[in-house]
Amino acid sequence: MINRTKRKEESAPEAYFNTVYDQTVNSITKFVISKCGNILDTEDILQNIYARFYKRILQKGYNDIDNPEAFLVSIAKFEIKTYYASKKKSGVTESFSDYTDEQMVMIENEMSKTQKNFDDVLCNKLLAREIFEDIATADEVTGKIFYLYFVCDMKLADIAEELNMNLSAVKNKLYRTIERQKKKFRL
Amino acid sequence: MNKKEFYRELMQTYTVDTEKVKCAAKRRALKKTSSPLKIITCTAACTAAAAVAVVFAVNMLPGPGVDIVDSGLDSAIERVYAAQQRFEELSAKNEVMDMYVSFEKEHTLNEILMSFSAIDNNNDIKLSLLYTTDGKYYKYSDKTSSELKFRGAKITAPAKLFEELNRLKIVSLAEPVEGSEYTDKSFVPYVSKEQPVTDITFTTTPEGTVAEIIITDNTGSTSSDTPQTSETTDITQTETEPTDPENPTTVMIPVADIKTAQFISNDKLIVTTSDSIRLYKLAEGELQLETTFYADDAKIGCTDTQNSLLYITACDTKGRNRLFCADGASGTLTETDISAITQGDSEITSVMCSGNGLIIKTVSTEKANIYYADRSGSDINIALIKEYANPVSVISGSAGTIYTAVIDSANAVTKLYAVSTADGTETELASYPSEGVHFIRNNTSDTAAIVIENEGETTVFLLMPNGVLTEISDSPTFSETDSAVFKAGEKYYRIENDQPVELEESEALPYFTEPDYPYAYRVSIFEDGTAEIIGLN
Repeated sequence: MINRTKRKEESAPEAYFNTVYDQTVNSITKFVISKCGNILDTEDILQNIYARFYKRILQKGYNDIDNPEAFLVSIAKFEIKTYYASKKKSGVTESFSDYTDEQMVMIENEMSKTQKNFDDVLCNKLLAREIFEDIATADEVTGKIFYLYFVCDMKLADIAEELNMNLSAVKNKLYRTIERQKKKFRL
Repeated sequence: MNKKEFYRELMQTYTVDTEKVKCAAKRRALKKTSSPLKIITCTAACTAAAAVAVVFAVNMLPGPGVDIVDSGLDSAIERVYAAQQRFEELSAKNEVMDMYVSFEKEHTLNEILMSFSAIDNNNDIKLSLLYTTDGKYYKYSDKTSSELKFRGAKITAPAKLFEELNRLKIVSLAEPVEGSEYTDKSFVPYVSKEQPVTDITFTTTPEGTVAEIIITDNTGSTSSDTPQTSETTDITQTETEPTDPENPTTVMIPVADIKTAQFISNDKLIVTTSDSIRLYKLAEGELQLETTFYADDAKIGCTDTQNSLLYITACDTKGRNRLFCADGASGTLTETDISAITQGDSEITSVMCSGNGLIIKTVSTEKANIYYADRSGSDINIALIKEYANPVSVISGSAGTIYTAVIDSANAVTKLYAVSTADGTETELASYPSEGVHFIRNNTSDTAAIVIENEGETTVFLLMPNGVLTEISDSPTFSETDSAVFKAGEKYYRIENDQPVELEESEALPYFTEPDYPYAYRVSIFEDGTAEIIGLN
């Protein structure tokens, strides 16, 4: 018996789209987050990108697309520019870090320690959502820093370069938010 | 669970719901009504297919007006992607290519020529048609009115200049003519530089080439191919397994999308990717990242082999140039402040090591500037030498003098000048018809050949370090190991006291054998942008 990998009644474009989506969503998400104005816009922008891609392959096929990821990046660049064309970008205020090197090391060490309540917090959807939105709405870059640091495993220096920011400002935003949330949400 | 894992799961869960995005994307795509956002988008960045009135410079013929049909952002994306795909197919078989070039806004002919002069060997770019925004087009002529402004052009150029053209600030898209949906009559310039078409990463690079600003060094060896400098790139695939874990025979370079990689010392490796310049240290069989600069369009500007210095140009996110120095002696990668010379829309188009100095050329739509910088290790002190209103090329430099070629398009001539770095005084050396002039330098950039092709005949002059022009029989090939030695036709010469002195073939041949590779590891870059270093026994 042959196990079919294609879902019943799934057309070729649909199968192609699903495969490409699964293969590219993480990298395109990372691209969008690093370029977007606010992390809360990410889902909307991603929907626009993949909608445009899906429409394209429905109308014109996909045999001429040699590199779907490159094609999606092309779309992503257009979509991000378009998305923010009518929105005024606020400048990112750079500042020196409030923390000494020793303090930052202490915060980093604390982040590696196991705590029992984290699982409970994640299970509490309302609380978890509130913590996420506290990060995402702090300002335009804090959410991006958190995503790139914790999900994409980027180094802070690399994040600073990617976001065209001062390294001290990146550290400041990250550690201040962690310390503030520690007090606010007892993390 | 620790705090890092907590935040990872939190951000992953709540930033993007990937299943929700997938379903919503399909629903959005199938919606039949246009959104207001799309209409705004279409107005800002439209492409068109329309009949275009044909206008000749001498005989003005009436023609239909232009219907600008708004095809929207979909067409814009398709057009850019299609241009990239067509180029990748055509470049394998065509050395020279017809291209349609669209400009991000209207420019006069002189502004276009000035911007093209940013590309080395820009004399190989032949303009044939110029397109206005209202749909007329003109045959290119030196007598084209300076009052007219153009939004596009048709050119013939070497395929290798395709990426350089797309990087120019005034160019919104250069696309191959072959396979295009447009014809000369129907071509309409692609609009909007704000969509960063020049940022599109080409996933393959032509075999055996390294992105360099310097014009052909034209160094050679006795083999029938002319290999690139061997410590730079090799696009080959090897399957060597490391046998000694302490001194492995192959080590992967731990970064993706690599454009170039070369050793500057036995244990220091410089790597450029699509968005960074990196310095690695090879220690105990591992490559450890020491320095990273994030910058786009990194290109090797020039190499000072005597002092083990490598200069790299790149751009920041706003397109402003940056200059980096990789120092093999100290094993460092540093950035040099050049903000004083990259104001406005000026961009660096060439960097040349000349003795203890650097010659830097910047180009904007209005002027070209040549700077001379005294070097002290990785530090430089920059002074403006000369400002030009016409396109200019830096040919060579030696002992306080920079040799330039200035295109006087009104008179269709190219004039050679000697410019003093002390006070900028300029002396005219010679004048040639503009068509068919190009230059070949030696690897120390103190000697160059001026090759003039005119009505089927080729004349070659050697510009010596002291500024003397000597006619030689053929285009030279300079030795890679001794910059004073060259081959012209079947004969060999050494430059002594600013004169070419003939050498016996047996005496000259060792200067054209492939030089010994000086490092313990060689770099191999694969088509997918990954790379490894391979130990040499």
